[in-house]
Amino acid sequence: MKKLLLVLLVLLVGCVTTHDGGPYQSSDYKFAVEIPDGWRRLDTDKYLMITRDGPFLQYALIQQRPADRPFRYTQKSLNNRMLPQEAAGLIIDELSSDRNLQNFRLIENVPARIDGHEGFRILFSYNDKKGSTFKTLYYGFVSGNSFYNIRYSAAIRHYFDKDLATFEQLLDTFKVI
Amino acid sequence: MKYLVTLLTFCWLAFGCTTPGPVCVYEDPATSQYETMLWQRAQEEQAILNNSGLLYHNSELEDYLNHVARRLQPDDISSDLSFKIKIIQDPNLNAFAFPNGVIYVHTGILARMDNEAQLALLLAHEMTHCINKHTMRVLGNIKSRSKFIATVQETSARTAMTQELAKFLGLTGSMAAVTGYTRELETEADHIGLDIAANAGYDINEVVRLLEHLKQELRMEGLVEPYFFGTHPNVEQRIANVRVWLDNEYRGKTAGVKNALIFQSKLSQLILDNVSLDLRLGRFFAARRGVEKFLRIQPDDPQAYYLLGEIYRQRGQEDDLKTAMGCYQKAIALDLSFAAPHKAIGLIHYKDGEKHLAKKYFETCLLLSPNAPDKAYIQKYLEHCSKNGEG
Repeated sequence: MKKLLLVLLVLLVGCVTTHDGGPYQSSDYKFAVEIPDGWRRLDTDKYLMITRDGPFLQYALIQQRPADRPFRYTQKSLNNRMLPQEAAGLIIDELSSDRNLQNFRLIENVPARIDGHEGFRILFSYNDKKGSTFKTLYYGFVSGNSFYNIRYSAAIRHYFDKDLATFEQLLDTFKVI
Repeated sequence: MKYLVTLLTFCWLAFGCTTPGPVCVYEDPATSQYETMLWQRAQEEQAILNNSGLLYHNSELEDYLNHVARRLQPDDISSDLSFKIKIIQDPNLNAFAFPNGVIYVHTGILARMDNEAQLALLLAHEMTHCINKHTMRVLGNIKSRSKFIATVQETSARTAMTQELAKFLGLTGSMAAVTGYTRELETEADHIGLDIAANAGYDINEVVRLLEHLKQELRMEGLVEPYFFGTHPNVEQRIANVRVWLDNEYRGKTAGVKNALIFQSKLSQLILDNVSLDLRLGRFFAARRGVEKFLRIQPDDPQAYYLLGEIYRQRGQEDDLKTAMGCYQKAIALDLSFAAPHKAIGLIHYKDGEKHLAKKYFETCLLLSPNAPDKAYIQKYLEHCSKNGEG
């Protein structure tokens, strides 16, 4: 989260090149996705982050990480023998332990298929330190030794519903390569 | 986080620059502008903490903790200072007091105590920080601001969890909860806290048990001593200190009360809730110890056996699944209508490829709990079981 904030700060001051929508492919992280028109992407070697209205209001993030990489809070780790429900449970444990996500509330946790992979979809809300409420839709799955997560997070007021359909379209274009 | 703490510290110090020099620590709080501002700041920090969703709510338990605090409260302290105890949902071992008398105690440290005397000793320690105005003393005696800032930074950066806690706290809270006061003041709080607990009629010998209990917990979990022990003298030194005091000043004094039974009855639900927090963080040893402690208080609790099963299932070491299965079966035997252990057994069979057995347990789970929160997953498992033709 600290790194994410740093990235957001850098973006704010405009020190990083941003790119417009279109096809995106990461050979390092082995995925491809179609970035929606009007969304800008931030170059980072950690994950793909894109936004239309600015990352403090809404953003989508796609990340691939080694499944066994330790998490910040929970000492549990993912593995490729886990069922999607077990992976979802671990991610919920991690998120609900993150104190940046105040008043964390799980709204939904259901199975999902992402690019043909059995995974999960969780929906949760939280408050930031200023008291604004955000909602995040979080898809995840384990493939081989990697954990992929694709999320959309936005302020509930005005922003979340506005770009939800666009995010779902983006999700449909996601491919592990 | 370091930057945030630095910023907060600078703000505080800049704020402090406009005030007169150090205020006499024994001055009445109401007459001290400096202290009034400190209390206002503490209230602001508490408001953030109270609205963070981190508080553990159990009105009966809170009443009980506040009852113990009232019993401890010395008669000769300022009437402006009244103590209020709040509980934070956090399995880490910590407790901290704001200068205005609001004391936050983590579920983790409460869950590890054995009796009311130990609770009283902990609260008396924290109350001493307030009564003797330790925050004022630290802030009023800062000789080197840069050194002070560095200390706050260094201490709060010590572990991820302290950084997390500090996110909610300003300087007063961070000093109380994360960095601690000076070692001398912590020793003073240990010593005077002992006196306060003794005067309230508690068995102060329990302080050794409390500290040894916590020392063992820290060792078994491989934890750095982050909070309650942050800049305190180390536990060994504290145990040595209290042994000296008990052997000399308190020698021959009548033993006080422990009130173990009432403590256990009031705390039992918290112990189990804290197990869930430990489990969430993957602290399997602490979680198991917690649930075993709960089962000594309530031996036939199906939820506790279910949680014990979850601990073993999620840990997944050799023979853990077998042990987990036994725990789930016990939970079912104690409560035939308990759906969750059926699902858990179903999961074990499902992953073992025993789809016919898994199906039986998943179906029972949905029969018992048609609107289970994870119904969508269970239905998916049932579909797979049927597809494999083993249904």
